Amino acid sequence: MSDSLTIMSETAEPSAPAPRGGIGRRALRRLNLGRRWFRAWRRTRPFWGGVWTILAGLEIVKAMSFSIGLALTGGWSYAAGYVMGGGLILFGLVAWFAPTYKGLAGFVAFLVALAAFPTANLGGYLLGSVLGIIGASMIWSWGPKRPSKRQLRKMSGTVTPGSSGHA
Amino acid sequence: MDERRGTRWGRASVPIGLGLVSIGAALTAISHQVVALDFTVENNNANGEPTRFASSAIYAQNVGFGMTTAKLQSGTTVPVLRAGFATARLDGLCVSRQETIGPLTVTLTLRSGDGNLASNPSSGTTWPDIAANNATFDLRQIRGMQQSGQASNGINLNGLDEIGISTQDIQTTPGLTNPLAGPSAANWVGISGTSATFYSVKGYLYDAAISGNIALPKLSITTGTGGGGQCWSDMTTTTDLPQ
Amino acid sequence: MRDLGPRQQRNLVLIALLLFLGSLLFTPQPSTANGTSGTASCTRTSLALWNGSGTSTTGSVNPCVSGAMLDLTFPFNSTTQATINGVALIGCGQTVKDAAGDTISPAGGMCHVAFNSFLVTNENAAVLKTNGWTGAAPSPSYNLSINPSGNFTIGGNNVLTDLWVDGNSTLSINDGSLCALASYIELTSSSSAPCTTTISKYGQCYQGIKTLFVKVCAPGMLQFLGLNNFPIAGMDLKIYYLATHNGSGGPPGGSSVQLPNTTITVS
Repeated sequence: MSDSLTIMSETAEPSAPAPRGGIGRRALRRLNLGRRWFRAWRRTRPFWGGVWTILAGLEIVKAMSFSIGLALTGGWSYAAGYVMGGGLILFGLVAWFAPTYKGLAGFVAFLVALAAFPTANLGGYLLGSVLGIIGASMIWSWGPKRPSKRQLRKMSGTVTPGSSGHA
Repeated sequence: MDERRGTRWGRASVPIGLGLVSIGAALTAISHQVVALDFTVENNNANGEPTRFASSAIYAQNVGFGMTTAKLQSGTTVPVLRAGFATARLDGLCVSRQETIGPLTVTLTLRSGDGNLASNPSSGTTWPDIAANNATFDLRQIRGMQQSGQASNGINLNGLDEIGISTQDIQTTPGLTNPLAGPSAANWVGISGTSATFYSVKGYLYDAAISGNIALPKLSITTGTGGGGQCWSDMTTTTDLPQ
Repeated sequence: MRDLGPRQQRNLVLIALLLFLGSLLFTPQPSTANGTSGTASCTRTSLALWNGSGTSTTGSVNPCVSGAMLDLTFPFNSTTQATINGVALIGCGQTVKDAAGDTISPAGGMCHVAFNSFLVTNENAAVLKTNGWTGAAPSPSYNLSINPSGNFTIGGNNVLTDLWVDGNSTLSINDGSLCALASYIELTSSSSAPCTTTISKYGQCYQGIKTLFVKVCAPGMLQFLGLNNFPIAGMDLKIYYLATHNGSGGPPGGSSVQLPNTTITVS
C-alpha cells in the first residue's frame, strides 16, 4: 500500500522545528495530515460501497421500529430486519477493514440486501434493499481501473488538445 | 505512478440491474397476484396515537372480539379489544401512522384497493379486493357507518351470536385453541358470531396481523411530512374511505 | 494506522460470517399472540334456550361466561324506543359460573329472561358497556363501551334473544293501559320512571316484571290492551351472557346483531 507507507513515512520523519504561529497552525497541519491520510485510506478500499451498504443496513434496522410491517414469508418478520440490517452493516465494515476479501463481502451483502426485501418490511420500504444492492455491487466490483486519459498523458509526457481525465 | 482503483461501473451494473429487476418483479407480484404475505402493524412507539386504519367494508367468517392485553414496545401494557377472523375479505385498506426519523416527523401510509366499491358481494358485483386468512386486529377504537348511497350500515353479526363469553373461549380459525390469546382468568369479556360485516370502517389499531394468501392490489406506500397524509382526519365521515 | 494483515483480514471475515450465520440460525420466532393459538382453562355452564312458547326451552349452549357485567341502557324517555313481541322469564336463582369457576352472584340474583323480536328504534343514547366484575379481586382495569345510534337490534324480527341478567335490571313500559293495571299486576311506578318493573322481584306469574309475561302467562292480554308488542321507553339490563338463536338452539337467519353508526371504544 504505497499511499499508506507514504503517510507512515511522513509521520515518522524527525519533526522539523515547530512552526511559528503556535497552536492554530499546528492544528491546521494535523488536520491536513489527517485529511491526506483519510484520502489515502479510502482510496485503498471500496469505501463508498461500504458507506452505502452500511447506510442501507441502518435504514432497514430503523424501519423495523416503524409500525407497519410487510413480509412475504410467514413467521420471521419480527426479527428479520435486525438480522438483515445488521448483516449489511457487518459486511460493509468488512469491506472497509478487510479489502482483500471485498469480493466475498460484496457478494454476501448483495444476497442479504435481496433477502431483506421479502423478509423485512419490503427491504426497509424499498430504500434499504436498493441502497444495499448498489453498495454491495460497488464493493464487489471495486478494483484497479484503467488509467485515466490525464494519467496517460502524464505517462507519455504529451499534451493532447481536448483531452480530459476522470477520477 | 499510483494505480487507480475504484468502482468499475461496467461490472457493477450487472448485479445492480439484476437486483433491481428482481425487486421490481416481486413488487409486481404483490400488486397483481396472490402471494403469501404477512401484513403486520406493531405499535412500537409509546408516544402519540396508535395506527389509523380504514376500509370501505370487511366481510369476515368465524368472528370474535375479546378483551385482552397487549404490551407495547415501550413496555406499557394496555387493554385492547382483539378482533379475530378466520377468513376476511376487505374492500380497500388504508393504514397510516406518524413516525419520527431524527428531527423529522413523517407520516407513513399504506393503501391498497382496486378502486371499486363492492357494495353487496352476494349480488355478484365486484368482489372485495383484499382476501386474507387468519386476521387479527388489536383495537383501541373502531367505528362502522353507513356506506355512501347504500343501505349497508355499521357493524353486523350473523348467526348464533354470543355476548359475554370469555375471550379464551372464542373460536375463529378451526383447530386453534384460544386464538385471541385471552387471559386464563375471569372478567375478560368477548363477543362471537358465525360471520360479520363491517361497513365504512375507521379506527385505531395497536397491532394487526394478516397472514396467508393475500393480494394487495394497487399497493402504494407513501411518506409525507407534517401531519397530512393519514388515512382519515375525521372519524365520522365516509367520503375518504379506500375502496 | 496500519491496515490489518492478511491473516487478520481472513479472521475478520470468518468472524463476520459466523456472526451472521449464527444470527440467522438462532433468531427467535415471533412471540406475538396475533393469530397464534394459546391455552384455555375455562369453566363452562350449560344454559338452556327458550323455544318461544311459554317458558319452555329447547336446545342449549355451553359457554365459558367471562363474569364481566355488560350494562345495556337507554334512559327513560316518554317515546317508545324499543319493542319486544314476547318476553319470558324462564327462571331466577340460576347458577352460572364465570371462567375461573366462581358462581356469579349479582345483587338481584341471576335471572334467565328471553325476548322475541327485540328491536330498538330511534335511539341515540343507548350504550352497552362493562359495568361490573365477579370473582376475587383484583378485577381487570378496562372499560369497553359500544355506542350504537339509530335503529339497532340485538335479536331482531323472529329471533329469540336469551339473556342471563341481574335481577335488578329494569324495563320501562310506555303504555298507559298497562300502568292502569298496576294494582293488579304490581308494576312499580314513580314519576321519574313510570311503569318500570323489576325483574325477579317476585317468583310467581303476574307479579313484578312478570307483568311483562302477561302475553305468556295470560295469552290475549296484549290484545285486550290493544298492543301488538311491549313498547319499551327505557331499559337498564345488566347482562352477564346473551345468545341470539332461532328457537331450536340454532343460528337465526339474517343479521341478529345490527349496530349502525356504532363506535366501540376501549379504555
